[in-house]
Amino acid sequence: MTPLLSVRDLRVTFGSTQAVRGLSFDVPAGGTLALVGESGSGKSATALSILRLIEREGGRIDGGTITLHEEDGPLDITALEEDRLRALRGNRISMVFQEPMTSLNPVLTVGNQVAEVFVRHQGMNRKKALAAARNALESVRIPEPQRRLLQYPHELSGGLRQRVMIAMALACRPRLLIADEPTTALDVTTQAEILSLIRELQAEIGMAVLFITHDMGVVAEIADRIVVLREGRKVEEGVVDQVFRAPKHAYSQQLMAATPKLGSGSPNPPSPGPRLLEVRDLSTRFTLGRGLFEPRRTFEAVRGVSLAIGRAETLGLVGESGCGKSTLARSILRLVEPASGSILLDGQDVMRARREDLRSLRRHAQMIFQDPYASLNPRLPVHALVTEPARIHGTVSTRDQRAFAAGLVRSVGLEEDAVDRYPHQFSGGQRQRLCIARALSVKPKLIVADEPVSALDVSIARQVTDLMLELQEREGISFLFISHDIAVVERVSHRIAVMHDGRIVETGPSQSVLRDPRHPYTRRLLASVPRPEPGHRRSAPDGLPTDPLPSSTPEARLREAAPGHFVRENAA
Amino acid sequence: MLRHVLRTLTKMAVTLFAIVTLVFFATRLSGDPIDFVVGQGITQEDRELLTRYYGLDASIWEQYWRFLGSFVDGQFGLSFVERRPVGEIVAERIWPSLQLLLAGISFTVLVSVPLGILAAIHRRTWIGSAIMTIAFVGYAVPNFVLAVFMVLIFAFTLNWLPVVGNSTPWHFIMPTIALSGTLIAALTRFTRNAMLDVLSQDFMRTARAKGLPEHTVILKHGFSNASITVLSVLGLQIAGLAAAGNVVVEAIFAWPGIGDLLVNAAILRDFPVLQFAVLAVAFAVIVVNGAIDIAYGYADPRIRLGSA
Repeated sequence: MTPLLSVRDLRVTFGSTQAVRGLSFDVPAGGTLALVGESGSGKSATALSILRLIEREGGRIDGGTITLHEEDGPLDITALEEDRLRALRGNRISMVFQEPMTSLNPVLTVGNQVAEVFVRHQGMNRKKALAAARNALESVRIPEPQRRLLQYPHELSGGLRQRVMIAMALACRPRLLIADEPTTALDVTTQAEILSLIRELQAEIGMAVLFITHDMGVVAEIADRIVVLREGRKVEEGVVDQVFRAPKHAYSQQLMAATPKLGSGSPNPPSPGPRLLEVRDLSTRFTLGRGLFEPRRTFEAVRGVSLAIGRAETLGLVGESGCGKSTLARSILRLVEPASGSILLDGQDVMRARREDLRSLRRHAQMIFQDPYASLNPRLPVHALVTEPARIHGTVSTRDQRAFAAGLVRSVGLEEDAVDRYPHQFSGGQRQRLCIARALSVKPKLIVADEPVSALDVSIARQVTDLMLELQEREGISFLFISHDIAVVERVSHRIAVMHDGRIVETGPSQSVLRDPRHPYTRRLLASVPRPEPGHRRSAPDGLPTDPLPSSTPEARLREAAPGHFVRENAA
Repeated sequence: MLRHVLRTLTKMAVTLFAIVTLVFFATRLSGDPIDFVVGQGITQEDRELLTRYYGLDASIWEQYWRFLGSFVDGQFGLSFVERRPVGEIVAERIWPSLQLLLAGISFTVLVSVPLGILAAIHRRTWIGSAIMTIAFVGYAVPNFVLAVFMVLIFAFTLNWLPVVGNSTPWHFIMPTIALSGTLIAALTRFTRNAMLDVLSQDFMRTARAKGLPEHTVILKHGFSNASITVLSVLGLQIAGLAAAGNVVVEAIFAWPGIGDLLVNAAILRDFPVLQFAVLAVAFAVIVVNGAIDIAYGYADPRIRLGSA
């Protein structure tokens, strides 16, 4: 049987760098092929080449063929002129991109953006196209499609925006859908919904899917075949089950090993000792009202949270975007001002500390952020960057700075000559190591890490979490580790707290919470995590509990369900 | 949307009131107006007579109250020179000024928006560099220099265009170009930069992946976003145009507008006229900026809906 799409010996270059070096693969009609690799492996360049959008991004197809087998004969996309390409794009082949936040036009209504596909490819007039757009939104299970037509992208959640992207891509019932990391920017529960939606629609339309991802869990969930890419070359290809069970190439094995798997155990708890951090009934509010003519509204991001972290202990804080976990982290360091509650750090009262005392308190608690690109000043050399907190606190002089920096970068596994370089000369993982080195410069007792590995490739993320575990062992540092990725949290945390809607709904020893989840929200979260085991595939949407969550009232208390394992009681 | 318009109108009213108050107290603080108007060398009796005549014997609050009242009856006091109500004099001058200003703004937008978009699309070719070079040179030429050169070439040497007054459409050509020259140069650069920002956005790639033709991608998806920046720049620049540009250009072309009136009133020390002409310019700036604020709401849904 002829495949729908054949890529042969594809070569793509960006300037003088080769992004894709002689790649060949087939996408069978109606099947799903996963293109897997880490950043820089050439997977996105391949996807953009198939739509011939690569030239727009500054790349060039240097050789090879991309053949689409249409009913009326094969079509070589690399040799097609612009007119014919435009008739193909969004019609026969369409694409869903990674970032639903930025991939939709912010100043055009959703209806307008979906309808224009029908106007363009099916010659409909505006009225008919809008009606078709309504149906398209309905077919991707968007509630209240009629109302959505008039809404703008910023009024929709990330999951809904990605559904709009899919509705747009599937408007003309394409034969091939290219999905470039379509769920990477989404929460796990949303990710699970989007994946099952793509699978259902694939069956409905009978289209083929080329799925691009770095996430093995997602691959196991959705793909039939898998192509593993590294540095623009195919290192392994095969049926998903087979590659997962027995990866042949060393790189595939390494990738499998680095993928965090839920249920692979947590570190042993430290010996019980005095508490380092104790937070009680902490609440933080934001004022939303603006200007003279509008009423002030407040939004409570953190609602009466209590938690404690012992010395050399890691508390993993899990929750979806918007649940208040970052605000909680910042409130603990008083980077945002909490409204009420108490915070004791190493026996000192953070809430009552005056401005100048706060500075010395912060020496004991440092923070690491998600985006290592944005959190390092690009104009400072590394020796100035990593020693900055120490200089602020006066624990190192400018004269000793370089020697001190050399020690710091060595302790995070970088070469000493790194001290004279600038942030842009490092990779993402190395930059996150620099952020950790910077935090270490004041010998903190607590490090608050807000999604520290979410922007990194799996193998790099693994190395960074290994480094954090090692530092804990060596220096006895406590961590508040915030992530939406439960498998990563499990690997590093002694205890876990699950946050939902500004409250902690469940907390306890990691294994107790993960093996025996009590709160419905925790259960739903765990059910949504894609597992990198192909046998585990969920049977479409009914695999997910979707019943409405009971809303917990402020009076609801945490009840001890098992030793050290607390669950928020529901009002009902 | 209605809320956005109401909010903008309220802000305009508050700003206008603040300016009226400021102008009143600023002029009172600058000394006795009688000294300004007639200077020294009059008898004490005449001075008292004049003080009463102009109502300057009342307390400052009463004068302020009366000043506000003069807005309500639409007279705005008497001109020292022409002995006519100021409202009448200024009313004659507003329409020609407004006409010139509107012509200048329209011409600016019609020229610089397409040029800016072209410069952004062709940024790596000679087209882009040529546009940017012209814009750069244009920005460096002050509008009175441009006006004088145009008069020399097109009126005196070639005898193609009339110079004085506003009687025919031909009279509009040179003042309009003189008024908008600098602004065109500035707005072209801003449009180009705004478009460059937009061209690299993810949603532009989405638009192309839908198979849309390039002109739809550039205009519908690209310029609709860039227009927000262009509008705000236009709003800022128009203030300068209405205040300073008009005065210079109207003086050169003897355009019977507010700018011309302002210059003459200043020379003749016609205090009430001067005071009100300044207010009229301020009013024009506020109205234009208000209109742009409202247009802004149309261009950017995030502003209209009062979020973000």
